[in-house]
Amino acid sequence: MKRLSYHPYSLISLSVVILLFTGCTHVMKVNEFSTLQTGSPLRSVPSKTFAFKEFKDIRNADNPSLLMHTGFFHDWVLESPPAVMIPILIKKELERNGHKCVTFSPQVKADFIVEGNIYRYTGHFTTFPDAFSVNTGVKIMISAMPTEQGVFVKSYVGEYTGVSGYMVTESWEFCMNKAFMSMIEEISTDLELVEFINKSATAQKATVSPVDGKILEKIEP
Amino acid sequence: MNLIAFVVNTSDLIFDPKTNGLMKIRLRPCLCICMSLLFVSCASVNEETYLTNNSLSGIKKVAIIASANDPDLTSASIGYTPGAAFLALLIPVVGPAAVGGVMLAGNAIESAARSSADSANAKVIGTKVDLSSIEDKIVQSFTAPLTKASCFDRIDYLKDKNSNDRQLSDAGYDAVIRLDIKNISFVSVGGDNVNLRIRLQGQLTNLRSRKVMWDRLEYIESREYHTLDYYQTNGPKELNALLEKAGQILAYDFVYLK
Repeated sequence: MKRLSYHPYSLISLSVVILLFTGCTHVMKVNEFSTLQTGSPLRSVPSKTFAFKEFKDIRNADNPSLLMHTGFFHDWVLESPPAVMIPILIKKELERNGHKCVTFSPQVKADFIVEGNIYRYTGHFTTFPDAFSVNTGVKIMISAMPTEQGVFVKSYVGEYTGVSGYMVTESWEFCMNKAFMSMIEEISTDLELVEFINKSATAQKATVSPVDGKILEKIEP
Repeated sequence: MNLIAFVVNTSDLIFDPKTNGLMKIRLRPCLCICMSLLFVSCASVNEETYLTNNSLSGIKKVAIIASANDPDLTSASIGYTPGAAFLALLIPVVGPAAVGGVMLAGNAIESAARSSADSANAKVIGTKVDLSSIEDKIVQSFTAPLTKASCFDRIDYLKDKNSNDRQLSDAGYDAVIRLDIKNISFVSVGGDNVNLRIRLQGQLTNLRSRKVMWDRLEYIESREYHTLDYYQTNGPKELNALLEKAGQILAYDFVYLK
């Protein structure tokens, strides 16, 4: 009987094949997401308190955490579903810009109440060209307190398609991080949102009489 | 990364059935090179450098130089097709080499057909893009917030891209900001619609210390997907909107510096 020829590269390729068929679940944790370090107009607003309600995932997905399923054995998932992950990232961004974030309860005192619906969270993978593409989307509703001062509703999307090549190939973690961060950056650099917060702040200041605390006038954002 | 490495290189695997039924796998030399490159390619991409409170101290007179080299108006298709999934099912039956070869050929044909049509469309759009106006637009959208916020005493937009740091320093500038539009592309995520994407790099070099104090790569894309035909008509308008957004976002680094 002839002996099997052991070639080092055969072992490498067999290992790759075994890895492929063994499969694995690629998990991305909350702490693997970076924090933006870019300039944000949210810094120009005096510090406010934002009370976060639970975000909803309106996609009706069987596994909300699943980004994509490639081949038959590879799952690309978030450690926590996007309805949990995204508000955490928004809170981090607000806090980075000098604001305070709390969890909503009827007793909590806050300037704004934040709610959100996750409506998009998809990923694509292709081999030609080799790239990951990640898409996220959240619709945010921010209510100024008291609620008569207006509600701000807007959808924000985050997308990133990785660059691939022999010298630089961006991993799925990198693409995922970029996509989520681009969505957070959309929120963080949105002048309409800043204007809403500023107007609400102005309204709050203008409505209260310094003498007796009664409402004097109301400015609709 | 292992998955990508495997799929890309399966065509290089050769099965030799002559060894008494024992499977022997030989690899072509190019596979060794490809695998080495792929493992090297797992290295991270460029790190960004952000401004800090002290980054701009002493910088009053700034030169801005913009460059937009020929836009890379190509189309890339993204999507894991059902056909590829079906072929992957066949791997245990006919072996990875055969399936890999079919996938390679199938994708290459599809990619070539689509890419040929899209590239032709993209080239037509490319002819409508005036590089000089792109540069002007990005500088205008970047400097407007800086001027409004009085970030510097003086900002000069220099059209001469060949000015080197020494010449700028001799001309009395404290720093130079270079805005480089690295890439303009159309990307489709399945289907016929594409969206427009740009990659813009901004760098600030302190001409006194010769250090790069700010180095950012901004990646902006249109929110909506359209056909390439749509972009033939509305491309410049869409591009201007993206350039304005990208310029503003980079400017916020200066305007809202803590």
